[in-house]
Amino acid sequence: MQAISPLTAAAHDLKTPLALISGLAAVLLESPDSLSARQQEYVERILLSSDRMLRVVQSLVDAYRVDQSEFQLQLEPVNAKQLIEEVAHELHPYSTKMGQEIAVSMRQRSVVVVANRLLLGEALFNLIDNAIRHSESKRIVVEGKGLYSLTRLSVVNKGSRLTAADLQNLEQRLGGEAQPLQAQAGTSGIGLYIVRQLIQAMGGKVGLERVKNGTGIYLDLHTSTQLNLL
Amino acid sequence: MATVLLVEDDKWLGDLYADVLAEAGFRVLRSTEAAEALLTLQNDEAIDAIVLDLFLPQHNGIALLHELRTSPFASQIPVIIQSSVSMQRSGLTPATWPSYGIAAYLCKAERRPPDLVRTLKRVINNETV
Repeated sequence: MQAISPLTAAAHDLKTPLALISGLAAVLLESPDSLSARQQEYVERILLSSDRMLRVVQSLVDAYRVDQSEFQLQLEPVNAKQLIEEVAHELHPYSTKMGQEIAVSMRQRSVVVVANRLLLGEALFNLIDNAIRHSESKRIVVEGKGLYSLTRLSVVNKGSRLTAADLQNLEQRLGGEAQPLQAQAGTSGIGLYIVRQLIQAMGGKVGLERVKNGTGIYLDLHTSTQLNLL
Repeated sequence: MATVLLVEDDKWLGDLYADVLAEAGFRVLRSTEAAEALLTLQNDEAIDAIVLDLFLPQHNGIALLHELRTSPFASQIPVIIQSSVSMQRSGLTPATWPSYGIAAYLCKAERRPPDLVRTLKRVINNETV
């Protein structure tokens, strides 16, 4: 393993108690009869929240390592539809608990982008997780479509009640060059910081698009021509 | 009754895994650091599997894996890595497993204690994981 940066060491120290919380909750849920319905619901929320937090900590470390050029960024053809479905499956328990459905809609049968699979997965996880937390709608749609040499993957949040000022703020945070972590203002934008950092490192772009009755955050990535490899 | 050496430096996490394994019928020996683990292996000949955390005080798990492979007391004992670092990030992909004697890799963020029980049963019974 490589030398450990302070953030990676801190992440390890965060992940250990989170793994304990998650593990204890999982063991409690193994004996649901000993819990009341309300207690079971709370334990399920503890489990989902600790799992999500573990994922955020890992994403943050990855974004930081990209920022510090510590990450060996290997780009490869990635089947975007398959990856989105994997991330949606991972988030399914959380979205269900929040009363939402994640729908995947691809215009082409196969959408293959040039990316690092691990990092694109982290970016998609953060975007979809963000949409689940902030959407007023019962349906989060993840779309994919080819735009000549680019592929656009969008997480569309229909029913979003963002004001014009919210949208302007979002656009500012998504645009421009990648910023180091310490330059990120506020406490609510860490997911977007992670997404932007990871996608820009892969030569892609993150942006905001307005759709009917809502907004979408999109990732533009280079389309792979190596379809025969998948 | 199969015996497992659990090498985990976090006390409460170790308690949790030890409880779950004992409840599943395993005899559990515990170490919180590498030197203690090596000593236990030297003194107890009946260990069927090692569950190893990769981040240990004063010793990283990879270095311990090297020592285990060359140890006359441990070279044939299957190792299950259990780490907060994912397999891809640790660099311990399945292609590297034979040289380290790794039988399975569980990421703590993705796997629950019952997964450890299932994996240990498979490994000890020589089934494919």
